[in-house]
Amino acid sequence: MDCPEVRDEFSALLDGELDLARRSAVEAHLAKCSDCLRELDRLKRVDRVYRELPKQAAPAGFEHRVRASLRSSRLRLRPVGLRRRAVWPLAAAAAMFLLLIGSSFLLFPRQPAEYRMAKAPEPTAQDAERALRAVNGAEGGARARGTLEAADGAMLSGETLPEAEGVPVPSTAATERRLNALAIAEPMADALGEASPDEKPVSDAEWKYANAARAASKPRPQAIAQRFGGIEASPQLDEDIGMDKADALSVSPRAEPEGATMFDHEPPESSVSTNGTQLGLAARPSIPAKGQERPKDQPVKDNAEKAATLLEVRVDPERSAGRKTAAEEVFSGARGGAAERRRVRAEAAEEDLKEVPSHKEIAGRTFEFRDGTWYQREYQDEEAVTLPRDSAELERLCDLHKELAEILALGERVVFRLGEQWYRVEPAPEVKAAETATNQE
Amino acid sequence: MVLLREARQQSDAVLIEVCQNGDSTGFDELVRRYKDRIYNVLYRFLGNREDARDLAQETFVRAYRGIGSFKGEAKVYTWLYSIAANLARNRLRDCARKGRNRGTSLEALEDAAPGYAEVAASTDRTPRTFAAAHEMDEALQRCLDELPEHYRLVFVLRTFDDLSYDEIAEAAGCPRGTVKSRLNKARLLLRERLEALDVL
Repeated sequence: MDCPEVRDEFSALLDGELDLARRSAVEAHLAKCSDCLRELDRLKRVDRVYRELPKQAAPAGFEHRVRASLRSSRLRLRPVGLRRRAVWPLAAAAAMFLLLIGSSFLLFPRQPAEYRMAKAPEPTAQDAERALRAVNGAEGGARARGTLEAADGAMLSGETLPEAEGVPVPSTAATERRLNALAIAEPMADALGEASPDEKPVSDAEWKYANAARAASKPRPQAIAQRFGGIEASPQLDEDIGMDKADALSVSPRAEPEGATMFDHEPPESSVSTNGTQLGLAARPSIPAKGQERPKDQPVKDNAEKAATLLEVRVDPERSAGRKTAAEEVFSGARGGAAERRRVRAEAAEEDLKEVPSHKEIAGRTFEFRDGTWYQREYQDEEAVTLPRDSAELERLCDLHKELAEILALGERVVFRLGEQWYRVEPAPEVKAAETATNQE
Repeated sequence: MVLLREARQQSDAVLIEVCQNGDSTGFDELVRRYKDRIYNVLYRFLGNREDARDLAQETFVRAYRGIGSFKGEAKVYTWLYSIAANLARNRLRDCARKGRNRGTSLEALEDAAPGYAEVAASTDRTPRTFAAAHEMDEALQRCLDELPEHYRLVFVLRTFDDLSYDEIAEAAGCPRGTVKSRLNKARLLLRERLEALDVL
């Protein structure tokens, strides 16, 4: 290494930042070059004189100033999760959803079927029996099932159901397609924890049959009626299927006082709850795969039993409630960004109003925050020397008592004791004047 | 809420996490921990107590604002220094634009040069040498002020806060090799000036 090359490395050598190989090379050069050695010595002295300069500490009350500055710029820490969770995309999605829903109502003001939101009377056992009679009657059964499917809104009544032997399971090609689709959906529902492994998805029509059957076989608990609506006579249906008013069934969600939505009444894919018992679809006959013959060895004795065998539905109110909440969330989200924005704003406002903690422990003393001032707990309205923030006396005290810096950082106004003397620290006159002006504004 | 006493025992990373969870106690502790270091470096870089105080304060305000995006890949103090350095550079440019006089000129200091050698050589501090030492501190600061800002920044970070080259590179936003060459140049320039003042 020549002299200029070695001198380029002097700083790194002085700072201990040279790797071993270079350091050895530089030292080898220095051993034989007195000029470079002298130069290195001068650089060392430069470093030494500067390192001997006194360290400057931040002025007294610095922390307080920082805090005051943060307060005046209205900065507050918010949990990162909340900050990072963008509200706008959510609001935009909600608005879009609302728009779609709204436009669909405008474009398709009324669905042809009888799936309507109406306050329905309590279903009675007689209603259900009539329903089952209709189900089992050669012509009425087909019509009723068709109607129920129509009422379901998913399977329109174009295809009537041929009587299956024994059990009146919807078995048209369309129904089977649907049931197969549900069977495909089953693992997904299981994965979401919404169904136990032995629970099977059922069609809405099946679910309704089962409900009616249960109503027929035993008195229906009030809870079921409240949650899953009732059976309503529908003039529209009367016309469509030519039945007596009483025989026409339209399963309709009730307008529940607790604000349940149509989502509550949707038959669940795999579970329905009525009386708090865990759902079991134990007796559900297996659904034949497409093109497969339905087994014919399922004995069914009477109407009620037939339907009950088809599905045994027990409902878990908690699950229902959970579903309701989810539905409400969807709706509340759909209601739009405005509500979400209001909520976020309210949260922010609440946070802004959050009080500073009422007491803090500093330097072994407890301070209490009252009326905009931090008081040392022992203070009993004794006479106190008032010191403005910018006073020389306060600075002198800070030099003498190092803990004061921290105490003064509590806030603009602090009352504390040193020895036997109480001190009241107040804002500097210009700060006070600015505060007064702000308050007046 | 984390108590101040507890906060003092926590590492910087934990304090940052506390802040990111919305608790400002962690930030109070960070201010307490680094205010002197930041102030000292700013004072040496700017050569002015008022500016140093203002910018140190502003450094913490900016840090508070940006604490949510602090990833923890850098050290807290290098992050604070990088904020401080940016603020300080901007302040110097403002001063240069406004033509603000930033203190005694080197020419004026050179007039008092004979005294510096005496002070530099003395090991005890009598009242006379104390006053002279104060003057010498001023002279050293003015020499520093005369350095171009990119040399000055690395020199100040190295000399007054003992940052490693990698940390300086992080704070100053330049490669490690640049730090090395700038430091070397800064020392050479200072040596020339101090020799002119008869300090060395």
